[in-house]
Amino acid sequence: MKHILLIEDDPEISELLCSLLIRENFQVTPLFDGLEGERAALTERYDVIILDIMLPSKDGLEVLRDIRGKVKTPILMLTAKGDDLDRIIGFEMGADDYLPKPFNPRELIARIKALLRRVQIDNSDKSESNTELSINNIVLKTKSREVFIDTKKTELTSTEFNVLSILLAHPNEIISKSDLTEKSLGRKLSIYDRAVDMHVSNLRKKLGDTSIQTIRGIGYMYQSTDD
Amino acid sequence: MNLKPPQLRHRLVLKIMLIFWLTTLCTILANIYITKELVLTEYKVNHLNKKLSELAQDAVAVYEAEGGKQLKKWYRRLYENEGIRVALLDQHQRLIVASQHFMLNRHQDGDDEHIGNEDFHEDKSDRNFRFGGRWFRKHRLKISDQNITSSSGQSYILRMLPSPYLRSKFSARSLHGYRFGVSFLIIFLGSWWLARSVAKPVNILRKASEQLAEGNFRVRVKPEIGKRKDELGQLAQTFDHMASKVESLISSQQQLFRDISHEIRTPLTRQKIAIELAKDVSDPEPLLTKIEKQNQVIEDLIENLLTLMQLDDSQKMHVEKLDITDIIDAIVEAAELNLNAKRLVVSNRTQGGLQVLGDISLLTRALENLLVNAIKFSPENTEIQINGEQQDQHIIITIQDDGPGIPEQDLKNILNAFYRADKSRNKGTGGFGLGLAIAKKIIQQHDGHLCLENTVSSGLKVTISLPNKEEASDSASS
Repeated sequence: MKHILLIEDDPEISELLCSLLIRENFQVTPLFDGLEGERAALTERYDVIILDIMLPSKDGLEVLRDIRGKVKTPILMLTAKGDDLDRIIGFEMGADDYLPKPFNPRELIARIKALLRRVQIDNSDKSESNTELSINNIVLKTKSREVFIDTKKTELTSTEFNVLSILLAHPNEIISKSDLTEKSLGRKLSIYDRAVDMHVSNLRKKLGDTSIQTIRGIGYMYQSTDD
Repeated sequence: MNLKPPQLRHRLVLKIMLIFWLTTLCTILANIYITKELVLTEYKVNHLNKKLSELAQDAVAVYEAEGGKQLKKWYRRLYENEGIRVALLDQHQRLIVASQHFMLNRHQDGDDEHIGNEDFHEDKSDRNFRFGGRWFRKHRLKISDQNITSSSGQSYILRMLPSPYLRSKFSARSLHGYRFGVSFLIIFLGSWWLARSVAKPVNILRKASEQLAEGNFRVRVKPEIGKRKDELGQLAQTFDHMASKVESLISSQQQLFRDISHEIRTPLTRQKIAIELAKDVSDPEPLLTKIEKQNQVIEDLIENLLTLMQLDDSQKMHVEKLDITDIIDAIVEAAELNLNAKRLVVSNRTQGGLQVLGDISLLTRALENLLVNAIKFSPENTEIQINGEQQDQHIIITIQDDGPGIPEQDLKNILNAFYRADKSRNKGTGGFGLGLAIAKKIIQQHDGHLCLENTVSSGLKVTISLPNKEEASDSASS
């Protein structure tokens, strides 16, 4: 049974979500406080972490920042539409997926399952032969899941790595947002869904150049400057 | 913001008048000066012309009687006494005495610079002549050569050289040019000054207004015009005041919208999950109750918000003469159930007959909100104290509980809508943080004050001060 850590301060939402997740055959540990949640995330092993932004004692974004580098568990953030997005981008680090409140509970389940599926794909990836993509100043190793910029190793989150490898696999080709969402996050693009945009935004900051271009209304393209 | 009109000496009208007056005065003075200088030079030239033959005779007499050396001394004397420089030439226009050095370099009497005849001649155009290595315009000399024949029959020429005494700043020929040029320059400077002091700030204000209209509420003009003390400086201050007011209004409005959407989001999320769960259970009754409860939460929120908005419109108040004592008795009675649930006691020490002018439903609501708040934060088995008394022109009502009080840093903000000292909602206090905001607004509508303080024994004390009946009717009639 997959184990989910739910960090959400509203007791009623937490209680309802627990019932929902249990109904979907997940095991749930509900926590109500940022610090407690962080401690649990670092010490226990979970398959998915659901993290709210508004939390007492430690803000959800700070919790995310502090656990991101230390655990590989996929993290799904519950956000609010509007200015929360800017704050997330400002924090320069990514959760694996974002879901704005009030969300459709079925959507939440679908996203959790997508995250779990993706972890499996990532794991099975490792058995494949190691291919190396090298474009511009970037070298991406698919097996070891490492990225080198100007031969310097750069830490990417698992989702960012997926997004980048898809873009690099098809340089100078437009990849639609829905394709990118499906392939990197393992789920369909929904309305108000800005998860991929967030990952691209973080990627741009980490790559430090403008090779990833936004094609408005369609998607993204990695522009190769190699001849 | 009420600004007094500027002091007389800082008035704009005075400034403009001053600029005009100064410009005109300067123009007139400059013209007078130019004319005076010209007339004076003309006068000197006339005067000298009359004296010229006398001078020539004198020079020849000195030269013939006492020789070149004495002539040089005579030159020098003439220069020192009259400021005139002359040279005596023979009939071939050659200098009789060389070394006329001092005549041209009156500030330095160092090296004896010899000036030979080759240095003293006219050019071909006959307009200029050379003397001591420098060229002079002939027309500047104004005085023609004086021919003279001495008693011994020798012919001489006395030539007038450029002299400080005759030095004219302006030439008569371009008199009109000078006058026009100088007047133009002064008027130009005056206009420029006027433009700078009036048109420039107006321009800055216009640009700032445009920016404000386009939604840049951060624009301020104080750094550019703030130092002025005249009407334009005040306009700048008023503009800045308006801009900051608009900015804070807009941002508080935006904050309000964010807060509202946040507040609605939580019950909506609960509702959505509950509905999803209810689809799949055999007995949805408890879930339906939960959903209903969330509906009630959203309804309350909207109801409170509407009240808050309506309070901005003071037209809707139904003002009448009220007895505060009755209102307090009524709200305590209405809260009985809640009080009993936590076994709280209210000790009401309100004097009878405290009369105010106000809207009964609004004042009831304000006091009710405060009492509900006190009940919410009171621990069980404690006491809530209500006091009401008249002090001078005011009626002072206090409501004091034995709860945890409010952290000092939150006291200032707690009266703002949606502000909660307790950031986490899981402690069961509930509410939206609108109750106190509504109470404060109602009291303000009645020209009163509401303030909060923590008591020594850790409870919260709310103090309301309302103007009493007479004063309220005064302010209503004015």
